[in-house]
Amino acid sequence: MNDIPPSTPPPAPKPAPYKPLMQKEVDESKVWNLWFTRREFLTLAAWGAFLAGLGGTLLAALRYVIPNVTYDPPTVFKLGKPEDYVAGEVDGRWKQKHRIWVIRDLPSLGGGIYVIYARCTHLGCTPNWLPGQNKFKCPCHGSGFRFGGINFEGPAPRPLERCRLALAEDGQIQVDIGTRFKNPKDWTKPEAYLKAKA
Amino acid sequence: MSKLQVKMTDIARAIRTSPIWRSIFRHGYQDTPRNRALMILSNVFLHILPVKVRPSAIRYRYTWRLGEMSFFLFWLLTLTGVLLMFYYRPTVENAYWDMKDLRFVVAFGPFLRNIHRWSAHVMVLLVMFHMASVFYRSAYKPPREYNWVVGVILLLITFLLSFTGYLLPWDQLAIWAVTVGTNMAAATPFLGSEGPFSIVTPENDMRFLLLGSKLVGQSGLLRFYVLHCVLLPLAFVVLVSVHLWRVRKDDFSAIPVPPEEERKKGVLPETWLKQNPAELDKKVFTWPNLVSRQFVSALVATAILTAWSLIGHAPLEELANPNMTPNPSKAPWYFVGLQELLVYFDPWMAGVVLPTLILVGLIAIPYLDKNPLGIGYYNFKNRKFAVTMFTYGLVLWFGLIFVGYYMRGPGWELYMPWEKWDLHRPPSSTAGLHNMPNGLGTVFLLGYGAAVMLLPKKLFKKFSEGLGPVGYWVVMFFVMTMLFVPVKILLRNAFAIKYIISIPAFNFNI
Amino acid sequence: MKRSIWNLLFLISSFSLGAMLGVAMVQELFPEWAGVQTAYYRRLAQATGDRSKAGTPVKVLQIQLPDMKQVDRCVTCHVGISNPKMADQPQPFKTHPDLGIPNFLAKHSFDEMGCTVCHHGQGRATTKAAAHGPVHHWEEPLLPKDLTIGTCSTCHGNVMKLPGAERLAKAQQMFEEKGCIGCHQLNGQGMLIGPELSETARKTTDQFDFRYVQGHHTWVDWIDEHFKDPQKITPADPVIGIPESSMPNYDMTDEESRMLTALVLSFGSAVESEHRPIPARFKVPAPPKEPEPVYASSIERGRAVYQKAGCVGCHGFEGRGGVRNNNMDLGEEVPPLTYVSKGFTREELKETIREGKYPARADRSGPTPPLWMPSWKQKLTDEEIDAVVDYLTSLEPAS
Repeated sequence: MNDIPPSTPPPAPKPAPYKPLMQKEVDESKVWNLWFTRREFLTLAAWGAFLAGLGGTLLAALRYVIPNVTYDPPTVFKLGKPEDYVAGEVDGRWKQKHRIWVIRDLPSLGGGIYVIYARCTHLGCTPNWLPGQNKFKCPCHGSGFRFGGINFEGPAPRPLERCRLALAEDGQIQVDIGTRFKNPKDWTKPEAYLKAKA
Repeated sequence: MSKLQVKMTDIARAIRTSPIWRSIFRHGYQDTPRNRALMILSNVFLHILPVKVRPSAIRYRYTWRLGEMSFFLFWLLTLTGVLLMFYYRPTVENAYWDMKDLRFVVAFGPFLRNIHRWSAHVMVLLVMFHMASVFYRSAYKPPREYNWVVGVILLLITFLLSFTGYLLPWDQLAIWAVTVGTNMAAATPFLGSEGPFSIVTPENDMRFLLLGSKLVGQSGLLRFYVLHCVLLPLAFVVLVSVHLWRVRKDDFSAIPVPPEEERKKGVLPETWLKQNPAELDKKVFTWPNLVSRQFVSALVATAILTAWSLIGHAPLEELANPNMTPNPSKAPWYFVGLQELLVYFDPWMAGVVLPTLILVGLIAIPYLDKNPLGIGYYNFKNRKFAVTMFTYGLVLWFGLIFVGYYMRGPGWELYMPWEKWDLHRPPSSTAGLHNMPNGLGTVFLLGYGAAVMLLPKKLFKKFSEGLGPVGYWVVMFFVMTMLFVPVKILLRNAFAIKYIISIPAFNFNI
Repeated sequence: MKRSIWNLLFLISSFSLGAMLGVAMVQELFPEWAGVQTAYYRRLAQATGDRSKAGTPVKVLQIQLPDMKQVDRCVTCHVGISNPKMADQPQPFKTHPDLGIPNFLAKHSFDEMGCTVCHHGQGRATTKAAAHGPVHHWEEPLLPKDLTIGTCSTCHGNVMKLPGAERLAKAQQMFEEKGCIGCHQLNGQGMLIGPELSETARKTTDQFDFRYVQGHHTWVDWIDEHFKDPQKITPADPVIGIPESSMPNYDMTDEESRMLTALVLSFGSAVESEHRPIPARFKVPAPPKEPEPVYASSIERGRAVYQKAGCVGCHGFEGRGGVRNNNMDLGEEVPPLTYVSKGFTREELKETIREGKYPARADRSGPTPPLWMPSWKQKLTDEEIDAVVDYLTSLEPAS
């Protein structure tokens, strides 16, 4: 025991090495025991912010390529009020300017307004409305369409198309000749058949 | 040697030992093994190639040089394309007339334009053949699956490059081909205004995004120009770099071929290799063996394209006229197969669902094919199912293209390839077509699905087990969709059935 | 692969590539127009006696017309077009003829107007074949010389009064006499029973049926042959339900049908096209409309209306009838009007003219007759209709 001469003082005990808390360890002496350290939290938050920024940039890039304004020629026109049109008649006042007929149905047929686009479905000529024969007739090859536009004679393969309609705030009929309905099944939709308000 | 010759030699030596020369050309050009290695190693472009390569990799009957030629054509197209950009303005007022100027007043204009167009068509063809070639020699099996996926994306980019370029001449062919193509985008489910379950309007659907407008016009032209000249080539370059890098990293797939007698005995190359592992280490220098053959292949390709470009003028029809639809209006040839499918399927199916399934199916191939045999050489005997299904798909694809391109005339009526198109031929009657009643249709579809999905499990037990539990269902799903196309064609042509199931309220028809 | 094959391929492809590039270079160095220009300068040197002109370097010459959206390179071959000294040379070295019209060349400066506005053709082309045509996919081939008169109306509203347009004026006269306007509307005048006439000249090649045309498949030949035999060029197509053309065959001479083709071209040229806008400074307005002449009697007025409205087109000169109307119950022909006052009262006649009439079918299962009596109440005033009825009554031959 006392064999070793006390020539050198015993070495001072080394201080306990610093061990940062690893993810799974919990220091029971701490009051707040969260499942992450400050370092981990900040790192996560930083990456999260970066990814959010990146994601936002990508979304912005996608939104960028969707135009807000196009330079397509206007296709929406106002056609006057429904009362300006005689029920049961095919009105050709806009045929020259917009290539359409406006038809207001008799009350017995529904009383609504629809617009037919004056383009023959055979090769694109402009047909005429023949009131005496109650049909639309194309001068180019003789295609015939009944009142309402269904093809029944000549080479036309499909009925005349109808244009999309809406009622503007000032009560006028608003037509969009750029959007047309080919299928008669779509003709009863409110966008194709403007019913008078009750 | 005469005095002059001595002088010339001295000058040459002086140049070659000068600091300037030696800073650029780091090694000599004597044909030593060291220099052969250095030619590859010390060159930034060539060092994508390995210094030494197995002799089997050099044989042109392995890859047919298809990948290399596709890559070469990309650069030829870039070069000719950049030159064309000096004279072409992507505006509605100028595009067509600039094409006319290229044809009539630009020096070598017609030649450049033609070679650009013909190279584009050839590149699309070659990438499809390259994909087929990689499939047939199983060069997509582990560890090369990822590279196959990158390749499929490159295929898609090639199609898009060709499609965006197709619009730029702004003639009738261009505007209507793109109209057909973008109308298919409008048929996308959910995101297309005319597709099933649509949640968008024509003012903000996929088609509007592509064209920047409801019409095919100036904004569409400009977008396609930017896509064609900048975005898509950049994407291609980035991905092709990854693609070539992976070819190196995964070790080029060609394996040594057993000698005649062994092959005649029916010995599998894999077995033979196990018995002769030393064969794998037998290599030859890339410079000059591979590089010379690549160079000559590129030269031959250029010569053929030059001849074609001098003789055949690329088409330029009338100025684009949105009010006059030509009859027929066809998509570019590589999409005309899908357009042909429109006879049998609704646009959302033929133009969106089926192409998506084709792409997804292609991408899935390496992950579904568990057969380890055949890597690095052409093998049919040991991979009958895979080869049959792929070949069937390939034949169907090119068959549809053939019908759509050569056998469809005005009104998309059927014409024999030698028949003259008659604009006044009465349209074939669709009066006889009828739909299957929905009840019967559901039974039919379920029966068909059940047959394809369940029967193989009973009839080909070992094969089915080999695919794994998930793999089996996925593979059979794709087989089911692939076989569905001729079923629909048969139903329509033989039984005059238009739709098997039809729910008009949702615009849903199969 | 054996080395020798690759060497051979290298040899063949290198040499052929070099050769082909050589061919391309030769094509570039010696284009078609260069030979023509060189020949021109030699002739110019001879014609003017100035030897230095013979060596003028050749290059592509063009007339830029940005406000008309045209670029005309015709002058690359037709260099001498405005040089009076070349009047005796053969084409293409010749000066543009002055057509015997005073000041014609001075008023139609090539630098300001170019060539294609009058002659059509593909202005941007630099080869004869592509510039003149007909070429696929170029809708305006070079017009034959005798039809160039048809493009004057592009600028000239007063084309009928121009010196040199006598043939066109004669064609116009024939047009009015035959009453074409009764079936073919023109700029809002007349009836739309057949196609509108100013649109006809602007149709594209795809829109014509060339199956029965003997000549070139161009618009010009279609119209020309159609005038000579409408039923041949537009026959019936029962399968798709197109009836035979009801246009009468007027037994025209070649010159007549040619003149009328120029007239139809003239109708179309008068409509401004998007591809070739005409600057205001070139436009010559139409002369003011002549005042309504004073007629000696109601019958005279009626005769004038009968002619002008186009009744003569279907009912014939002096109401003699004779125009075919397929499957019409009254003998398959448009009825003559010489005896109408016997069969109808004045009121009935006026009503028919006002409201129109639709013929019944001879064969109920057959097609509807293509011609019908249109309603004139929106085109003619009551007085005019009265006058016409007076005229019709006067047609009855005195017994």
